[in-house]
Amino acid sequence: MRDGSDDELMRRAGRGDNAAFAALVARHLPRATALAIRITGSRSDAEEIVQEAFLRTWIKSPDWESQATAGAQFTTWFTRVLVNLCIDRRRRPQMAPLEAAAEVAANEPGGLEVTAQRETSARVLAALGTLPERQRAALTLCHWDGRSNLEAAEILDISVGALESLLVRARRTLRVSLADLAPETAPSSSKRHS
Amino acid sequence: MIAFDRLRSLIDAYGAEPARWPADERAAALLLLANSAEARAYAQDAGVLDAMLDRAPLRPTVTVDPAALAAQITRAPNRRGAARAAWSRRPVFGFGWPNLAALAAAAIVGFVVGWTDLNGTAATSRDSIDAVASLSAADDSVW
Repeated sequence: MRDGSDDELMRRAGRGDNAAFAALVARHLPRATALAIRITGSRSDAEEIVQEAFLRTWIKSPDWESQATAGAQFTTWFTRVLVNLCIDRRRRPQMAPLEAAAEVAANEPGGLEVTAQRETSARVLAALGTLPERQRAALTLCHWDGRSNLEAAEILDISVGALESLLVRARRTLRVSLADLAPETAPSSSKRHS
Repeated sequence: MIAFDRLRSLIDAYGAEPARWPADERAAALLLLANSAEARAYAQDAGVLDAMLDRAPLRPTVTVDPAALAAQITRAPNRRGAARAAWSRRPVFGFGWPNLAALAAAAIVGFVVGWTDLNGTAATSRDSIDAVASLSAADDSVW
């Protein structure tokens, strides 16, 4: 039951086809979880958010036909729901960024290089955790989630110019936060032009 | 070819990897990159941050079982139907009959309490006036 486009699965789920909904969940769960962990910095928060996003998907499915006719893309709609839930959650008391760092590290094989990578991952994620939530979401969508500028702007419901502004500020902050790691990561460190 | 300032803006926003640049500007940006040592140096410098970000890949372990999650949602006491039913049950004009009945009952109780208390208070007031009048009469007799 993994066949069919997202739209088709949504339509079938809307008609009460539980198997179609299960296929939709199976297809999007890993990416949604990864994205939510990256934005919230917390596995437990991310899992709750992903469940809520899928619940909203199930509730939405009977009305999906009209949305799709109006040109809505499932992945864009779903990612917007997910990211908004993450941003709302992030506005609550702060997370512990290293929880997500441990999450990434847990997937890596052993070895000295891996230890260095874990350290870098932890530093990157900790620095990411200090960014304002919209900057963090923009960078996550564009750098790690592979979204185009148009998709990311639509998901965040902002213009492409506003998206670029968020990205510039996010990268500038990270560049300063992670400056001490730069020589280890890339031997070539030519001076930045201003 | 695009202006160097625009290429710099693209790199500042999206990093040095051309695949992340906007599709409609990529070809022109690559052309500038191929023809400008300054542009290449700028991109190389931005690539340092890209490399650090790439060392924190987005691939956490997923511990939730998709089938179990889907079953949990679809088996739950039909929240989809409940959400719609709750919406459709909303009274058209904002006041449902239970609200109106409660409001009417509160008005009646308030009226009864007010009326009985008013009569009681009036009687008490009359008694007080009579008492004061009799005292005044007594005082007048002394003076």
